[in-house]
Amino acid sequence: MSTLVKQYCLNAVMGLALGVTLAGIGFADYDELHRMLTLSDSRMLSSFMLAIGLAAGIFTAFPKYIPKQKKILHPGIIPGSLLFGMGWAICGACPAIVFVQLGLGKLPALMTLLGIFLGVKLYRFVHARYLRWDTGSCSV
Amino acid sequence: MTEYWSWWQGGLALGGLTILFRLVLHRPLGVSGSWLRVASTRQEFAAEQQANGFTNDTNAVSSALMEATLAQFGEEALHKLSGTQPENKTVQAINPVTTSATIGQHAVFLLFIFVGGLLMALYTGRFSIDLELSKMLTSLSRGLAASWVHLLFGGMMVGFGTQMAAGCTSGHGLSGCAQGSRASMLATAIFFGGAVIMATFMSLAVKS
Repeated sequence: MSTLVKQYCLNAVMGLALGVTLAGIGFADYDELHRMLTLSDSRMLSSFMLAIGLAAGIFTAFPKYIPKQKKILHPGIIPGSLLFGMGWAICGACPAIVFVQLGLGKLPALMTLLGIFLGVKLYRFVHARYLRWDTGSCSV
Repeated sequence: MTEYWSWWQGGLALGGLTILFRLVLHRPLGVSGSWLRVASTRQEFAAEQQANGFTNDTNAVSSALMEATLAQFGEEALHKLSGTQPENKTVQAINPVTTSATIGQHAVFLLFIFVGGLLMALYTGRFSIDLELSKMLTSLSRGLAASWVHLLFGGMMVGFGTQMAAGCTSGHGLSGCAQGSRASMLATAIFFGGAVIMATFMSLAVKS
């Protein structure tokens, strides 16, 4: 198997695993998410915290094998995160969850998908013309 | 229909996935980055074709670089490069081409999140073709059609916001926080805070 095909397969497997995990936890359930966000149910939040704790422990224990990710503080962090958080509550989806919602058969998620696509394109346009700070990278 | 996973099952799976992602794909778990790559497909293909068209013509390379610089950074950056208008401000743009992962690989990754969701939905009996995402959202929007419009705007906020913050729940929330990144911790606190405020506001609006 060539390296390129192997990379495609690995991306497929990791995507599949992420989709299964997010659906299994219930992050794609609009009402379940709102129970977490209104702090009336701590199950999903606890899962999220445990996931961070577990990954942090492994990353700290094996820094040699897992190179540190570069995330920089830039002027877009605060307004961008605030906008994302509010949008997350409105549509009940983050950039990964929208695909899981579609997998569950939720057709309204097509509008969220279109919205995210337009938002990404719009930001690209706005950034190149007006903002021009280094945002670092997110797994690209 | 089966129950959702318990908090510790979900945490172990999500945490394990965050670690595996680094080990297997050699990049941090992050979905907004894949979105950026896929949404920039046209520009990247155009750049690739342009690159293939170059032979050893250095003039063609220079003029193409100049055009690309102008498109990405604006005239200000050209002035800065030529020294005609010195400025201390750092000028950089988002650059979707930063690792060896191709657009196709990112697209496959996103597509298989959908497949994973579909398989899990079929397995657990949660799959159903539905025009309504949530009764609460429909009630708050005062109609199904209006709720779809709200989803479009909500989605735009998510797309714009995650690109502006350079990360989402996975990139900042899971990978970034797990690596002790201050930027990611700040981003996570803000997006979570913003979501809590908005969800509380929506909940109160439905009740009133």
